[in-house]
Amino acid sequence: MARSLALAALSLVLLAFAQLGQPAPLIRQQEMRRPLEAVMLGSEALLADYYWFDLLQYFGGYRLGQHDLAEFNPRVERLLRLDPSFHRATLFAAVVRATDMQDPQGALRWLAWAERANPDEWIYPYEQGFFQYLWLENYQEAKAAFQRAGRCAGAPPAWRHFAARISELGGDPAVAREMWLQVADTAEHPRVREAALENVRRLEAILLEHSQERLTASPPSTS
Amino acid sequence: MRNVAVLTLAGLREALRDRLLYSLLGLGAILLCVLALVAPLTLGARDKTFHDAALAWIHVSAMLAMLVMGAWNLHRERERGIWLSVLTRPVSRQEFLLGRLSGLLGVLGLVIGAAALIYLLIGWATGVPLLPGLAVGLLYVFLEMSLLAGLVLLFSTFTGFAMTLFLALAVFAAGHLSADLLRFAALTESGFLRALALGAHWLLPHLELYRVRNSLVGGSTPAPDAVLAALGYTLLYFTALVGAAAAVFARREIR
Repeated sequence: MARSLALAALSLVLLAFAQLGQPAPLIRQQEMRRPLEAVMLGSEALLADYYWFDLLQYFGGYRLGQHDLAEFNPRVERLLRLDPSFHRATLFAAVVRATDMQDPQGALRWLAWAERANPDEWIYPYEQGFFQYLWLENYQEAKAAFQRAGRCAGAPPAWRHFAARISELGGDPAVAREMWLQVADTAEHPRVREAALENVRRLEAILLEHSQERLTASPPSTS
Repeated sequence: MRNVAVLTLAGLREALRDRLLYSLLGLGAILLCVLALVAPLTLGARDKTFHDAALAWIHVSAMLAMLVMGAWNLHRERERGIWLSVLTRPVSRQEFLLGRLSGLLGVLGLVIGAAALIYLLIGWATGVPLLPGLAVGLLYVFLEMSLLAGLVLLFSTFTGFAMTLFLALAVFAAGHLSADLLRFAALTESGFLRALALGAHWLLPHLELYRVRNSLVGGSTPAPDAVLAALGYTLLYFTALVGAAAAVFARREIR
Protein backbone atom coordinates (compact mmCIF):
# COMPACT_ATOMS: atom_id res chain seq x y z
CA MET A 1 0.00 0.00 0.00
CA ALA A 2 2.84 2.40 0.92
CA ARG A 3 4.45 1.85 -2.49
CA SER A 4 1.16 2.52 -4.30
CA LEU A 5 0.58 5.69 -2.33
CA ALA A 6 4.14 6.82 -3.00
CA LEU A 7 3.65 6.18 -6.72
CA ALA A 8 0.41 8.18 -6.77
CA ALA A 9 1.97 11.01 -4.78
CA LEU A 10 5.06 11.12 -7.01
CA SER A 11 2.90 11.30 -10.14
CA LEU A 12 0.85 14.13 -8.67
CA VAL A 13 4.00 16.04 -7.67
CA LEU A 14 5.43 15.62 -11.19
CA LEU A 15 2.11 16.76 -12.66
CA ALA A 16 2.06 19.81 -10.41
CA PHE A 17 5.65 20.70 -11.42
CA ALA A 18 4.85 20.20 -15.09
CA GLN A 19 1.80 22.43 -14.85
CA LEU A 20 3.38 25.13 -12.70
CA GLY A 21 6.31 25.24 -15.13
CA GLN A 22 3.94 26.20 -17.94
CA PRO A 23 3.65 29.92 -18.68
CA ALA A 24 -0.08 29.36 -19.19
CA PRO A 25 -2.37 26.54 -18.09
CA LEU A 26 -2.08 23.43 -20.24
CA ILE A 27 -5.65 23.78 -21.31
CA ARG A 28 -6.66 26.26 -23.96
CA GLN A 29 -8.33 29.45 -22.88
CA GLN A 30 -11.66 29.53 -24.63
CA GLU A 31 -14.71 31.69 -24.68
CA MET A 32 -17.41 30.91 -22.14
CA ARG A 33 -19.58 28.17 -23.59
CA ARG A 34 -23.32 27.80 -23.52
CA PRO A 35 -24.75 24.79 -21.63
CA LEU A 36 -25.61 22.78 -24.75
CA GLU A 37 -22.12 23.30 -26.16
CA ALA A 38 -20.52 22.42 -22.82
CA VAL A 39 -22.17 19.00 -22.62
CA MET A 40 -20.87 18.03 -26.07
CA LEU A 41 -17.53 17.15 -24.37
CA GLY A 42 -15.34 18.03 -27.32
CA SER A 43 -17.77 17.04 -30.10
CA GLU A 44 -19.08 20.56 -30.73
CA ALA A 45 -18.48 20.12 -34.46
CA LEU A 46 -21.36 17.67 -34.50
CA LEU A 47 -23.63 20.35 -33.09
CA ALA A 48 -22.25 22.76 -35.69
CA ASP A 49 -23.17 20.25 -38.40
CA TYR A 50 -26.71 20.17 -37.04
CA TYR A 51 -26.79 23.99 -37.11
CA TRP A 52 -25.55 23.81 -40.71
CA PHE A 53 -28.48 21.58 -41.71
CA ASP A 54 -30.77 23.95 -39.83
CA LEU A 55 -29.30 26.97 -41.65
CA LEU A 56 -29.80 25.31 -45.03
CA GLN A 57 -33.40 24.49 -44.15
CA TYR A 58 -33.94 28.08 -43.08
CA PHE A 59 -32.43 29.44 -46.29
CA GLY A 60 -34.54 26.98 -48.28
CA GLY A 61 -37.64 28.33 -46.53
CA TYR A 62 -36.61 31.85 -47.52
CA ARG A 63 -36.10 30.81 -51.16
CA LEU A 64 -39.59 29.28 -51.16
CA GLY A 65 -40.98 32.57 -49.86
CA GLN A 66 -42.03 31.21 -46.47
CA HIS A 67 -40.20 33.88 -44.45
CA ASP A 68 -37.52 36.57 -44.65
CA LEU A 69 -33.90 36.30 -43.50
CA ALA A 70 -34.39 38.00 -40.12
CA GLU A 71 -33.01 34.99 -38.23
CA PHE A 72 -30.19 34.28 -40.65
CA ASN A 73 -27.38 36.24 -38.95
CA PRO A 74 -27.89 34.85 -35.42
CA ARG A 75 -28.00 31.32 -36.86
CA VAL A 76 -24.75 31.85 -38.75
CA GLU A 77 -23.00 33.42 -35.78
CA ARG A 78 -24.09 30.57 -33.49
CA LEU A 79 -22.65 28.10 -36.00
CA LEU A 80 -19.38 29.94 -36.65
CA ARG A 81 -18.71 30.53 -32.95
CA LEU A 82 -18.99 26.79 -32.42
CA ASP A 83 -16.84 25.77 -35.37
CA PRO A 84 -14.74 28.63 -36.79
CA SER A 85 -13.08 26.28 -39.28
CA PHE A 86 -16.34 25.41 -41.07
CA HIS A 87 -15.21 26.87 -44.41
CA ARG A 88 -18.27 25.91 -46.42
CA ALA A 89 -20.67 27.51 -43.94
CA THR A 90 -18.61 30.71 -43.71
CA LEU A 91 -18.42 31.18 -47.47
CA PHE A 92 -22.07 30.32 -48.05
CA ALA A 93 -23.21 32.69 -45.29
CA ALA A 94 -20.98 35.50 -46.61
CA VAL A 95 -22.38 35.15 -50.14
CA VAL A 96 -25.98 35.14 -48.88
CA ARG A 97 -25.36 38.18 -46.70
CA ALA A 98 -23.74 40.09 -49.52
CA THR A 99 -26.29 39.16 -52.20
CA ASP A 100 -29.70 38.32 -50.74
CA MET A 101 -29.31 40.62 -47.73
CA GLN A 102 -27.42 43.38 -49.58
CA ASP A 103 -24.93 43.68 -46.70
CA PRO A 104 -21.41 43.13 -48.08
CA GLN A 105 -19.87 44.90 -45.05
CA GLY A 106 -21.43 42.31 -42.76
CA ALA A 107 -20.21 39.51 -45.03
CA LEU A 108 -16.70 40.97 -44.88
CA ARG A 109 -16.85 41.04 -41.07
CA TRP A 110 -17.58 37.29 -41.05
CA LEU A 111 -14.78 36.60 -43.50
CA ALA A 112 -12.34 38.73 -41.48
CA TRP A 113 -13.36 36.89 -38.31
CA ALA A 114 -12.84 33.54 -40.04
CA GLU A 115 -9.43 34.75 -41.27
CA ARG A 116 -8.39 35.59 -37.71
CA ALA A 117 -9.57 32.16 -36.52
CA ASN A 118 -7.81 30.35 -39.42
CA PRO A 119 -4.74 32.47 -40.22
CA ASP A 120 -3.22 29.81 -42.48
CA GLU A 121 -6.26 29.49 -44.76
CA TRP A 122 -5.96 31.38 -48.05
CA ILE A 123 -9.66 31.21 -48.91
CA TYR A 124 -10.80 33.91 -46.47
CA PRO A 125 -8.50 36.76 -47.57
CA TYR A 126 -8.97 35.62 -51.19
CA GLU A 127 -12.75 35.90 -50.89
CA GLN A 128 -12.38 39.24 -49.13
CA GLY A 129 -10.47 40.42 -52.20
CA PHE A 130 -13.47 39.60 -54.39
CA PHE A 131 -15.95 41.18 -51.99
CA GLN A 132 -13.88 44.36 -51.63
CA TYR A 133 -13.49 44.70 -55.38
CA LEU A 134 -16.86 43.62 -56.70
CA TRP A 135 -19.27 44.91 -54.06
CA LEU A 136 -17.50 47.74 -52.29
CA GLU A 137 -15.18 48.85 -55.14
CA ASN A 138 -12.45 49.33 -52.56
CA TYR A 139 -9.46 48.57 -54.78
CA GLN A 140 -6.66 49.11 -52.27
CA GLU A 141 -8.31 46.81 -49.73
CA ALA A 142 -8.97 44.24 -52.47
CA LYS A 143 -5.32 44.27 -53.49
CA ALA A 144 -4.17 43.95 -49.86
CA ALA A 145 -6.56 41.01 -49.34
CA PHE A 146 -5.24 39.18 -52.43
CA GLN A 147 -1.68 39.75 -51.20
CA ARG A 148 -2.57 38.33 -47.78
CA ALA A 149 -4.05 35.27 -49.51
CA GLY A 150 -0.83 34.90 -51.50
CA ARG A 151 1.16 34.58 -48.28
CA CYS A 152 -0.80 31.44 -47.29
CA ALA A 153 0.21 28.01 -48.54
CA GLY A 154 -1.95 26.60 -51.33
CA ALA A 155 -3.32 29.94 -52.58
CA PRO A 156 -4.36 29.75 -56.26
CA PRO A 157 -1.85 31.55 -58.51
CA ALA A 158 -4.66 33.81 -59.77
CA TRP A 159 -4.09 36.11 -56.75
CA ARG A 160 -0.93 37.53 -58.42
CA HIS A 161 -2.86 38.27 -61.57
CA PHE A 162 -5.66 40.02 -59.71
CA ALA A 163 -3.31 42.03 -57.49
CA ALA A 164 -1.34 43.17 -60.56
CA ARG A 165 -4.44 44.00 -62.58
CA ILE A 166 -5.90 46.00 -59.69
CA SER A 167 -2.67 48.03 -59.47
CA GLU A 168 -2.75 48.61 -63.20
CA LEU A 169 -6.45 49.11 -63.89
CA GLY A 170 -8.20 49.50 -60.53
CA GLY A 171 -11.90 49.99 -61.22
CA ASP A 172 -11.75 48.79 -64.82
CA PRO A 173 -14.71 46.61 -65.83
CA ALA A 174 -12.25 44.21 -67.51
CA VAL A 175 -10.79 43.24 -64.12
CA ALA A 176 -14.26 42.81 -62.64
CA ARG A 177 -15.20 40.60 -65.60
CA GLU A 178 -12.17 38.36 -64.99
CA MET A 179 -13.08 38.07 -61.33
CA TRP A 180 -16.68 37.13 -62.08
CA LEU A 181 -15.40 34.55 -64.58
CA GLN A 182 -13.21 33.10 -61.82
CA VAL A 183 -16.27 33.00 -59.51
CA ALA A 184 -18.29 31.21 -62.21
CA ASP A 185 -15.48 28.71 -62.85
CA THR A 186 -15.09 27.78 -59.19
CA ALA A 187 -18.75 27.97 -58.09
CA GLU A 188 -20.20 24.67 -56.99
CA HIS A 189 -23.76 25.89 -56.67
CA PRO A 190 -25.62 26.50 -59.97
CA ARG A 191 -27.27 29.64 -58.60
CA VAL A 192 -23.92 31.25 -57.76
CA ARG A 193 -22.56 30.31 -61.21
CA GLU A 194 -25.63 31.73 -62.92
CA ALA A 195 -25.37 35.03 -61.00
CA ALA A 196 -21.65 35.27 -61.81
CA LEU A 197 -22.25 34.67 -65.52
CA GLU A 198 -24.98 37.30 -65.50
CA ASN A 199 -22.42 39.78 -64.16
CA VAL A 200 -19.94 38.66 -66.83
CA ARG A 201 -22.53 39.38 -69.54
CA ARG A 202 -23.36 42.77 -68.01
CA LEU A 203 -19.68 43.75 -67.89
CA GLU A 204 -19.09 42.49 -71.43
CA ALA A 205 -21.88 44.78 -72.60
CA ILE A 206 -20.21 47.71 -70.83
CA LEU A 207 -16.83 46.83 -72.34
CA LEU A 208 -18.38 46.57 -75.82
CA GLU A 209 -20.03 49.94 -75.36
CA HIS A 210 -16.68 51.48 -74.30
CA SER A 211 -14.88 50.04 -77.35
CA GLN A 212 -17.61 51.29 -79.71
CA GLU A 213 -17.34 54.73 -78.14
CA ARG A 214 -13.61 54.71 -78.79
CA LEU A 215 -14.12 53.58 -82.39
CA THR A 216 -16.82 56.13 -83.20
CA ALA A 217 -14.86 58.97 -81.66
CA SER A 218 -13.54 60.80 -84.79
CA PRO A 219 -9.77 60.66 -85.21
CA PRO A 220 -8.01 64.07 -85.46
CA SER A 221 -7.87 65.21 -89.04
CA THR A 222 -4.44 65.22 -90.67
CA SER A 223 -5.40 67.29 -93.68
CA MET B 1 3.29 -10.92 -15.22
CA ARG B 2 1.67 -14.16 -16.32
CA ASN B 3 -1.20 -13.56 -13.91
CA VAL B 4 -1.71 -10.09 -15.31
CA ALA B 5 -1.78 -11.47 -18.86
CA VAL B 6 -4.34 -14.14 -17.91
CA LEU B 7 -6.57 -11.54 -16.23
CA THR B 8 -6.24 -9.23 -19.24
CA LEU B 9 -7.34 -11.97 -21.61
CA ALA B 10 -10.26 -12.84 -19.34
CA GLY B 11 -11.35 -9.20 -19.39
CA LEU B 12 -11.15 -9.09 -23.19
CA ARG B 13 -13.13 -12.32 -23.55
CA GLU B 14 -15.79 -10.92 -21.22
CA ALA B 15 -16.02 -7.76 -23.34
CA LEU B 16 -16.35 -9.73 -26.56
CA ARG B 17 -19.38 -11.52 -25.11
CA ASP B 18 -21.04 -8.20 -24.27
CA ARG B 19 -23.84 -7.13 -26.60
CA LEU B 20 -23.23 -3.47 -25.82
CA LEU B 21 -20.02 -3.57 -27.86
CA TYR B 22 -21.83 -4.82 -30.96
CA SER B 23 -24.75 -2.43 -30.41
CA LEU B 24 -22.39 0.55 -30.30
CA LEU B 25 -20.58 -0.53 -33.45
CA GLY B 26 -23.83 -1.38 -35.29
CA LEU B 27 -25.46 1.95 -34.40
CA GLY B 28 -22.42 3.85 -35.57
CA ALA B 29 -22.30 1.96 -38.85
CA ILE B 30 -26.00 2.77 -39.51
CA LEU B 31 -25.43 6.44 -38.64
CA LEU B 32 -22.48 6.73 -41.02
CA CYS B 33 -24.35 4.98 -43.85
CA VAL B 34 -27.32 7.34 -43.41
CA LEU B 35 -24.97 10.34 -43.41
CA ALA B 36 -23.35 9.12 -46.61
CA LEU B 37 -26.79 8.73 -48.20
CA VAL B 38 -27.99 12.24 -47.27
CA ALA B 39 -24.77 13.81 -48.61
CA PRO B 40 -26.60 16.00 -51.20
CA LEU B 41 -28.38 17.79 -48.35
CA THR B 42 -25.09 19.00 -46.89
CA LEU B 43 -24.43 21.35 -49.82
CA GLY B 44 -20.80 20.41 -50.30
CA ALA B 45 -20.00 19.70 -46.64
CA ARG B 46 -20.35 15.91 -46.97
CA ASP B 47 -16.78 15.06 -45.99
CA LYS B 48 -16.81 17.33 -42.97
CA THR B 49 -20.12 16.07 -41.59
CA PHE B 50 -19.04 12.47 -42.21
CA HIS B 51 -15.71 12.89 -40.39
CA ASP B 52 -17.30 14.87 -37.54
CA ALA B 53 -19.96 12.22 -36.99
CA ALA B 54 -17.47 9.35 -37.24
CA LEU B 55 -15.03 10.86 -34.74
CA ALA B 56 -17.82 11.80 -32.32
CA TRP B 57 -19.21 8.27 -32.59
CA ILE B 58 -15.79 6.73 -31.85
CA HIS B 59 -15.44 9.07 -28.87
CA VAL B 60 -18.90 8.28 -27.47
CA SER B 61 -18.51 4.53 -28.08
CA ALA B 62 -15.20 4.49 -26.23
CA MET B 63 -16.67 6.54 -23.39
CA LEU B 64 -19.72 4.28 -23.02
CA ALA B 65 -17.56 1.16 -23.23
CA MET B 66 -15.34 2.42 -20.42
CA LEU B 67 -18.19 3.68 -18.27
CA VAL B 68 -20.73 0.91 -18.67
CA MET B 69 -18.66 -2.14 -19.55
CA GLY B 70 -15.81 -1.16 -17.24
CA ALA B 71 -17.91 -0.34 -14.20
CA TRP B 72 -20.46 -3.10 -14.81
CA ASN B 73 -17.94 -5.88 -15.35
CA LEU B 74 -15.99 -4.96 -12.23
CA HIS B 75 -19.19 -4.76 -10.21
CA ARG B 76 -20.49 -8.08 -11.56
CA GLU B 77 -17.21 -9.83 -10.75
CA ARG B 78 -17.36 -8.55 -7.21
CA GLU B 79 -21.03 -9.55 -6.78
CA ARG B 80 -20.34 -13.06 -8.10
CA GLY B 81 -17.40 -13.49 -5.72
CA ILE B 82 -14.87 -13.69 -8.57
CA TRP B 83 -12.61 -11.17 -6.82
CA LEU B 84 -12.45 -13.42 -3.77
CA SER B 85 -11.87 -16.62 -5.73
CA VAL B 86 -9.05 -15.00 -7.74
CA LEU B 87 -7.39 -13.41 -4.73
CA THR B 88 -7.36 -16.69 -2.76
CA ARG B 89 -4.97 -18.01 -5.44
CA PRO B 90 -1.36 -16.87 -5.69
CA VAL B 91 -2.36 -13.56 -7.27
CA SER B 92 -1.48 -10.35 -5.46
CA ARG B 93 -3.97 -7.50 -5.25
CA GLN B 94 -1.71 -5.30 -7.39
CA GLU B 95 -1.57 -7.99 -10.07
CA PHE B 96 -5.33 -8.36 -9.95
CA LEU B 97 -5.82 -4.62 -10.30
CA LEU B 98 -3.29 -4.37 -13.13
CA GLY B 99 -4.95 -7.29 -14.91
CA ARG B 100 -8.38 -5.66 -14.71
CA LEU B 101 -6.92 -2.35 -15.84
CA SER B 102 -5.06 -3.78 -18.81
CA GLY B 103 -8.24 -5.67 -19.69
CA LEU B 104 -10.11 -2.36 -19.71
CA LEU B 105 -7.42 -0.76 -21.88
CA GLY B 106 -7.56 -3.76 -24.21
CA VAL B 107 -11.33 -3.32 -24.55
CA LEU B 108 -10.75 0.37 -25.21
CA GLY B 109 -8.26 -0.42 -27.98
CA LEU B 110 -10.66 -2.97 -29.41
CA VAL B 111 -13.60 -0.54 -29.49
CA ILE B 112 -11.56 2.27 -31.03
CA GLY B 113 -9.93 -0.07 -33.55
CA ALA B 114 -13.19 -1.72 -34.62
CA ALA B 115 -15.02 1.61 -34.89
CA ALA B 116 -12.16 3.12 -36.90
CA LEU B 117 -12.21 0.13 -39.24
CA ILE B 118 -15.96 0.50 -39.85
CA TYR B 119 -15.46 4.24 -40.40
CA LEU B 120 -12.70 3.64 -42.93
CA LEU B 121 -14.67 0.96 -44.75
CA ILE B 122 -17.81 3.09 -45.07
CA GLY B 123 -15.67 6.09 -46.05
CA TRP B 124 -13.93 4.05 -48.73
CA ALA B 125 -17.21 2.60 -50.03
CA THR B 126 -18.86 6.03 -50.28
CA GLY B 127 -15.81 7.83 -51.67
CA VAL B 128 -15.10 10.05 -48.66
CA PRO B 129 -11.37 10.86 -48.63
CA LEU B 130 -9.26 9.68 -45.70
CA LEU B 131 -8.88 12.23 -42.92
CA PRO B 132 -5.25 13.37 -42.60
CA GLY B 133 -4.03 12.87 -39.03
CA LEU B 134 -6.70 10.27 -38.24
CA ALA B 135 -4.16 8.18 -36.33
CA VAL B 136 -3.40 11.15 -34.06
CA GLY B 137 -7.12 11.68 -33.48
CA LEU B 138 -7.57 8.04 -32.50
CA LEU B 139 -4.52 8.23 -30.22
CA TYR B 140 -6.03 11.25 -28.45
CA VAL B 141 -9.33 9.39 -27.96
CA PHE B 142 -7.38 6.46 -26.50
CA LEU B 143 -5.44 8.73 -24.14
CA GLU B 144 -8.55 10.56 -22.95
CA MET B 145 -10.48 7.35 -22.40
CA SER B 146 -7.58 5.67 -20.63
CA LEU B 147 -7.95 8.37 -17.97
CA LEU B 148 -11.65 7.49 -17.78
CA ALA B 149 -10.66 3.83 -17.37
CA GLY B 150 -8.36 4.86 -14.51
CA LEU B 151 -11.21 6.80 -12.89
CA VAL B 152 -13.59 3.83 -13.25
CA LEU B 153 -11.00 1.55 -11.69
CA LEU B 154 -10.32 3.96 -8.81
CA PHE B 155 -13.97 4.47 -7.95
CA SER B 156 -14.85 0.80 -8.31
CA THR B 157 -12.33 -0.03 -5.57
CA PHE B 158 -14.45 1.68 -2.91
CA THR B 159 -18.00 2.18 -4.26
CA GLY B 160 -20.75 0.22 -5.99
CA PHE B 161 -21.78 0.22 -9.66
CA ALA B 162 -24.11 3.24 -9.63
CA MET B 163 -21.74 5.43 -7.65
CA THR B 164 -18.77 4.40 -9.83
CA LEU B 165 -20.75 5.34 -12.91
CA PHE B 166 -21.90 8.64 -11.44
CA LEU B 167 -18.53 9.68 -10.00
CA ALA B 168 -16.55 8.73 -13.11
CA LEU B 169 -18.99 10.57 -15.38
CA ALA B 170 -19.02 13.59 -13.06
CA VAL B 171 -15.22 13.85 -12.96
CA PHE B 172 -15.04 13.27 -16.71
CA ALA B 173 -17.53 16.07 -17.41
CA ALA B 174 -15.84 18.35 -14.87
CA GLY B 175 -12.51 17.61 -16.53
CA HIS B 176 -13.90 18.98 -19.77
CA LEU B 177 -15.19 22.09 -18.03
CA SER B 178 -12.18 22.75 -15.79
CA ALA B 179 -11.30 25.91 -17.76
CA ASP B 180 -14.47 27.47 -16.36
CA LEU B 181 -13.04 27.02 -12.85
CA LEU B 182 -10.15 29.29 -13.82
CA ARG B 183 -12.62 31.92 -14.99
CA PHE B 184 -14.58 31.52 -11.77
CA ALA B 185 -11.36 31.93 -9.75
CA ALA B 186 -10.59 35.12 -11.63
CA LEU B 187 -14.08 36.50 -11.05
CA THR B 188 -14.69 35.64 -7.40
CA GLU B 189 -13.70 38.09 -4.65
CA SER B 190 -13.50 35.45 -1.92
CA GLY B 191 -9.96 34.20 -1.33
CA PHE B 192 -11.24 30.87 -0.03
CA LEU B 193 -13.41 30.25 -3.09
CA ARG B 194 -10.56 31.26 -5.38
CA ALA B 195 -8.19 28.79 -3.69
CA LEU B 196 -10.88 26.11 -3.83
CA ALA B 197 -11.55 26.70 -7.52
CA LEU B 198 -7.84 26.70 -8.38
CA GLY B 199 -7.25 23.56 -6.31
CA ALA B 200 -10.10 21.78 -8.05
CA HIS B 201 -8.82 22.98 -11.40
CA TRP B 202 -5.35 21.50 -10.84
CA LEU B 203 -6.72 18.28 -9.37
CA LEU B 204 -9.25 17.52 -12.11
CA PRO B 205 -7.99 15.92 -15.32
CA HIS B 206 -7.45 18.52 -18.04
CA LEU B 207 -9.49 16.78 -20.68
CA GLU B 208 -9.55 19.84 -22.93
CA LEU B 209 -6.00 18.80 -23.83
CA TYR B 210 -7.53 16.07 -25.95
CA ARG B 211 -9.82 18.38 -27.91
CA VAL B 212 -8.32 17.92 -31.37
CA ARG B 213 -11.12 16.40 -33.41
CA ASN B 214 -12.49 19.71 -34.69
CA SER B 215 -9.09 20.98 -35.78
CA LEU B 216 -8.25 17.64 -37.42
CA VAL B 217 -11.39 17.85 -39.56
CA GLY B 218 -10.59 21.52 -40.19
CA GLY B 219 -7.27 20.39 -41.67
CA SER B 220 -4.69 21.02 -38.93
CA THR B 221 -2.87 18.27 -37.06
CA PRO B 222 -1.47 18.86 -33.55
CA ALA B 223 2.24 19.67 -33.40
CA PRO B 224 4.56 16.86 -32.24
CA ASP B 225 5.35 18.69 -28.97
CA ALA B 226 1.60 18.94 -28.22
CA VAL B 227 1.24 15.19 -28.80
CA LEU B 228 4.20 14.54 -26.50
CA ALA B 229 2.75 16.84 -23.83
CA ALA B 230 -0.58 14.99 -24.02
CA LEU B 231 1.22 11.63 -23.76
CA GLY B 232 3.26 12.76 -20.75
CA TYR B 233 0.26 14.29 -19.01
CA THR B 234 -1.79 11.14 -19.55
CA LEU B 235 1.00 8.91 -18.29
CA LEU B 236 1.45 10.90 -15.08
CA TYR B 237 -2.24 11.33 -14.33
CA PHE B 238 -2.95 7.71 -15.16
CA THR B 239 -0.14 6.56 -12.84
CA ALA B 240 -1.54 8.72 -10.05
CA LEU B 241 -5.01 7.18 -10.55
CA VAL B 242 -3.69 3.62 -10.59
CA GLY B 243 -1.47 4.29 -7.57
CA ALA B 244 -4.44 5.67 -5.63
CA ALA B 245 -6.62 2.74 -6.74
CA ALA B 246 -3.94 0.25 -5.61
CA ALA B 247 -3.59 1.99 -2.26
CA VAL B 248 -7.36 1.86 -1.63
CA PHE B 249 -7.68 -1.71 -2.93
CA ALA B 250 -4.85 -2.93 -0.68
CA ARG B 251 -6.87 -1.94 2.40
CA ARG B 252 -10.21 -3.10 1.14
CA GLU B 253 -11.92 -6.02 2.85
CA ILE B 254 -13.20 -8.42 0.20
CA ARG B 255 -16.04 -10.76 1.01
